[in-house]
Amino acid sequence: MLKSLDENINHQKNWIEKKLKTTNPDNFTSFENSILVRPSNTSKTFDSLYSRPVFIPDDNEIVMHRILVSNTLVNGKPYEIRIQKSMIEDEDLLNSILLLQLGLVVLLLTGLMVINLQLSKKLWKPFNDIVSKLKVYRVDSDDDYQFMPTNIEEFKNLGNSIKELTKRNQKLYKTQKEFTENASHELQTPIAVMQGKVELLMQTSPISQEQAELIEEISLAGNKMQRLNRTLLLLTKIENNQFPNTEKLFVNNKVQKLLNQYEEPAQQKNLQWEILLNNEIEITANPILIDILIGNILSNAIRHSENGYLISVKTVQQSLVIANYGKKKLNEKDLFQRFKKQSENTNSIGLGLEMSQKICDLYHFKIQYHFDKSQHIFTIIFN
Amino acid sequence: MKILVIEDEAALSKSIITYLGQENYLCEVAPNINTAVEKIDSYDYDCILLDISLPDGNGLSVLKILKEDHKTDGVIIISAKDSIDDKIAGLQLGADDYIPKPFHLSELSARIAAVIRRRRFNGDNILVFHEITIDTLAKTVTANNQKVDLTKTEYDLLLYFTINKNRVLSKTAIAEHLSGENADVYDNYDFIYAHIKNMKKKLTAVGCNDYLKSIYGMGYKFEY
Repeated sequence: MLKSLDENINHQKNWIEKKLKTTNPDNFTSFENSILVRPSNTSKTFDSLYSRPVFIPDDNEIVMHRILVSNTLVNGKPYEIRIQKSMIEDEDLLNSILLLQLGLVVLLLTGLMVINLQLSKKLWKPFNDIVSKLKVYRVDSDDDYQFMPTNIEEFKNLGNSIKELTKRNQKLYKTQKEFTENASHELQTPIAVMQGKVELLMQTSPISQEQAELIEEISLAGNKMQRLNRTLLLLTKIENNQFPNTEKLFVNNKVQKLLNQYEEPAQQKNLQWEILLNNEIEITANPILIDILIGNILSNAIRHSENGYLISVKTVQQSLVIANYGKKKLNEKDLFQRFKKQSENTNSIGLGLEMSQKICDLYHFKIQYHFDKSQHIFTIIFN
Repeated sequence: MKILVIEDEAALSKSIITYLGQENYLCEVAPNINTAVEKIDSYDYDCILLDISLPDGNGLSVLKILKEDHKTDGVIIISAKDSIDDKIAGLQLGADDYIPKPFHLSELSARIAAVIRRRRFNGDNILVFHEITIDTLAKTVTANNQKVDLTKTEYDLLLYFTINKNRVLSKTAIAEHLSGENADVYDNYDFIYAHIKNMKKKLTAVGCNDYLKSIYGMGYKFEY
């Protein structure tokens, strides 16, 4: 910058010198007051170039100037040529150029970033769509996965593979479920036939004691088979969500009704009740399933209690707590598992608690077990 | 009394006919809807046993036809489906009762008797077994002209025995009849002993004969 300024000044000086030779230097007037020509008192010719702050009265400020003072001889007379140029204009120019450049760079960068972001967002959209759909994937849902259409070959492949995978899984799951369903369903009729025939067999005579015992055992086994089958069917139905009708229910009402129903078996064992249904819990669910859920826990408590013991039924906040006395803690891990029986009672089929768990899962309730002060405590949290 | 069994499983319908045939019921079988509709058109039945899943359609359509023809036959649905929807739909269409497969024949017999009783209002609500008279409308029992004060369970038990007289009834069947769906709350069926004992005591107190016999631990039989 400085160099070009100096050059510029020198050019001007040379031009003035030439001009001075053709005209009378005393008459030289400049249209610029930054150029001054006046007679000098030294005859020495020299050029001096320096920077100095000069007070500009117009702007009322001191501004850095580049000043050239040149002594020259025109027609034998010494003259002093003084050219001063403000440096500030150049600095301003420099500054504005720098600023412009910087602005441009920033604009470019942000633009680039925005484009990049937008582009990647758009590019990854099909992928994110797949991820978000996979997050809520359930093998037991019947939804057909429809991913976002895309032109990106990789994502298209990914989407197609996943679609096929889910379809395969669904099909497998369905066949497996259908098998349980069909097996249980198809067994109903032969069991019914068998039970009918056993009953007819009972009516034949004569029957010896030996035969009677055999018939009795067949009848009991058939009966157990029937219950097992019916429960398995019910479980499949719950899994299939074949109880879509829900209504507003009061847990206390349900408990009271079930307690009335179980009055007789409880009396049989001379059981004592401690019933504290102070808290009213309102839920929206299928009434049959709620009957099964609470009924299973209550009937378990009755069945596994020893004669004369106490069963307590309480509502605490949003939960129902049913506790009965027992000798030792049950294995929590296996408790809610299918066919993991923990009692020696051969009459039990080992599906009751699994069913309760399934019903809880369906409505996002929670069922918990713990053993405290030799009590089996089951808590159903309705929430 | 005439009964139509609409059931495609031959072995099952044969059992039903054998059991009911011994109780002076006249039974006919229709293995599909077509035959059933033909029979319904030509005869009146006191009770129709209707299976839901039949080879040529849903058994509920038979119920619709009955209703359209303003027939008053009693209907009991027997279904392997054990589905609540079927039960509700069936009862709404005018079925009198619903019994899921598998069932005890003695239970079926008791239900049929109840349906027929309810369908006939002309004084048929009196059941007589020798000196015992049961009024099924007032739910009272008299023996030797004396009123017998039975509890509800004991009354149910006596009615069940009377309807299935001369039959061996297994403990399971009795327990299930008495407790309905609660049968699995009991760890054993000992509770029926107590009811039977009390019922017997009350009947003998008014001079009844002891008709109830225990059959080798297999069950009980009410016979004279």
